[in-house]
Amino acid sequence: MGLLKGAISLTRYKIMDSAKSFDAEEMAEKLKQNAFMDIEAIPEEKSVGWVEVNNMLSTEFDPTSFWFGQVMSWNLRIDKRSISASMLNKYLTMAEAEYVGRSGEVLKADEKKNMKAKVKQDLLRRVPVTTKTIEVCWLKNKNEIWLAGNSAKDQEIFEEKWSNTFHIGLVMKIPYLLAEDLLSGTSDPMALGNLKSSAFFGQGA
Amino acid sequence: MDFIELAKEKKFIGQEFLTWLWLTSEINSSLINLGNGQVAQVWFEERLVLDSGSGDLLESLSLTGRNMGLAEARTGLRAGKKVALARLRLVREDHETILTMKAETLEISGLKLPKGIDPIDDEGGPATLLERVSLLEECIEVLDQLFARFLEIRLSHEWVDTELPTFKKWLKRK
Repeated sequence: MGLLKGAISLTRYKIMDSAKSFDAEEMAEKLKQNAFMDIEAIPEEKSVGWVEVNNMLSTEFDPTSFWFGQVMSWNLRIDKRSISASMLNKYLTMAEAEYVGRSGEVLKADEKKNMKAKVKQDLLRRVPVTTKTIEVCWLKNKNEIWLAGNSAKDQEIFEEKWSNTFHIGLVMKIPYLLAEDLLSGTSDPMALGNLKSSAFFGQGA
Repeated sequence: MDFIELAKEKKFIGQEFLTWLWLTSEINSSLINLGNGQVAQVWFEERLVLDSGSGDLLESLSLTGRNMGLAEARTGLRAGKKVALARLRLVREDHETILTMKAETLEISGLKLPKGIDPIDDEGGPATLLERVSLLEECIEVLDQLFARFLEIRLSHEWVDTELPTFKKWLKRK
């Protein structure tokens, strides 16, 4: 679902430093440096990074995979293992009971903390990873970035990864900022800033 | 003013835009003049959310289905509510796009690109991507033109002299 197939959700961002641009090799290098790291075989909770738009398993970033003239596109991949508090408590209680039954001793606070960390690591090895990919599109001629998603969490993850990768400011095109862009050079610059909410009915304009 | 404060203080711009678009489309039989001799057709359908206030004082009215309760929506407008979210059908030059737009941020969801154009022989490949991006750009361009047209009116005397009286008259008549 997204830019490649199905219904599309979209968040539009404006690039704050339009003068900054990268050639294909620089882009490839930056994407590789911040590429997705697989956590399938290691007990990590989360991994976030870039993958190729047509292949979520590839982080080669040959320019032909993301550079299409005025459009550049790649994917943000987010892998997660979710361990709920109730699941962790259940296995911690079982581990504690096993320890007490075996040693006849009650766990001290720091021992309990260590046991919790160990139980969590064990669970992380057993819980399958869920994978999500979200397309990113850089429209060079429009100085705009599209993220094919609009959950607040995904936006936050994307914005952080973008910032770490390109060190270029991005700002979401909320109505006021889009209005500023559309009115640029055509209207009194103060008019928009001074605009107040208007009633459509009842309380007058 | 930081970004979050700005977004909160000026969120009415997006709400007024969608409210203006809805009323204009109702009054003008779906036809919206984009300027430069261009026209788009806009229908509001299946989902419309109006709200007023914020935080604990937020009051929301949600309408769904093919026969949304437009009478209720008008009552909401009369009570000072504005459109917060809408499902739109846009048509320009035989291209029809359906999408949901959130007024506060203008974020888009559930956007269906024009039918029958989905390609081709490289499903999921670069040609598909570029064609869909191009179609999406066309749709965004129409939305930007509609927003620009709203701003042009909203920042002129036309808003108070013509637009608001027309809306008030229409709302009273219905």
